[in-house]
Amino acid sequence: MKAVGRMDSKIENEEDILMEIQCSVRGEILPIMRNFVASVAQKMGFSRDEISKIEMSVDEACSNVLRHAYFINGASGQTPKHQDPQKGHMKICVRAASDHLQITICDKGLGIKGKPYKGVENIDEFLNKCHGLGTYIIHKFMDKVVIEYPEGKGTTVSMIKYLHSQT
Amino acid sequence: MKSFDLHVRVEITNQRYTIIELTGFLDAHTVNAFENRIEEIVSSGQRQIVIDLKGLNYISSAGIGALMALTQRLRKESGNMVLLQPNEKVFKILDLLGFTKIFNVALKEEDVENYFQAV
Repeated sequence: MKAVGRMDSKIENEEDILMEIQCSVRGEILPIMRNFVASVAQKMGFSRDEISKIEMSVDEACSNVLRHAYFINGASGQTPKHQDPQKGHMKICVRAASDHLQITICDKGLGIKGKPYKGVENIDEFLNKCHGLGTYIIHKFMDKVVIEYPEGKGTTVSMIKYLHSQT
Repeated sequence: MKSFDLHVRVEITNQRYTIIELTGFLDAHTVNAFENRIEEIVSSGQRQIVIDLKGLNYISSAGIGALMALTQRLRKESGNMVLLQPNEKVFKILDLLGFTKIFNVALKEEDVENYFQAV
């Protein structure tokens, strides 16, 4: 599991290309987001395997918003009773820099109570628990991941993939 | 948005196993439809199942989790599951995460027979 530190998203290079999408939190948007980030990654010159990793990491982060951000009866999402589909929006920001791609996914949902949820540490743990694979995948496939979750103020997941990454 | 759906087609080719053909995406949005269909099939008594992945373009952790749950259930009930011919992209994801060592993966249709003969 990679170290989780603060990601500096304020420093921008003039040559960086910035894109932002705000959308409803609906399952139908998942393939649209996958295609969007895959297109950007392809244009930047990432290999096919790296594009798959980026695509899957973004899908997992968006899926977490879909499942956990806007449940009325708690953010754990284990036994949600109600979901407010009118309330849910999320924003996906993409920054294409010369040597890396940064993607930030944020919602205005319930955030995460208590300690940060890091997912499972390995596949054996997933086989026992049968959950937590999505967050594990994000950490495994991306070079840097930061998850911020002030309670009641939503969750922000920022991830970076470097061109010519060894991950 | 029909083009983003998962299509599930069930085919019983012989008396030994049932083939479930998946086309499209198996992600957090489509996984419930898959699980519901699987529940119908397993409840009807099918315990030897082939999931044909030739037409599957994407699988997420939700899809992998559903396949894992099915595998564990079938193994408990003396059944078996084989994943048939995942495309290069899906195979690569399963392999990078270590699931090609956990699932039975048949890269050729002839290999499916071997898995069920060995059971």
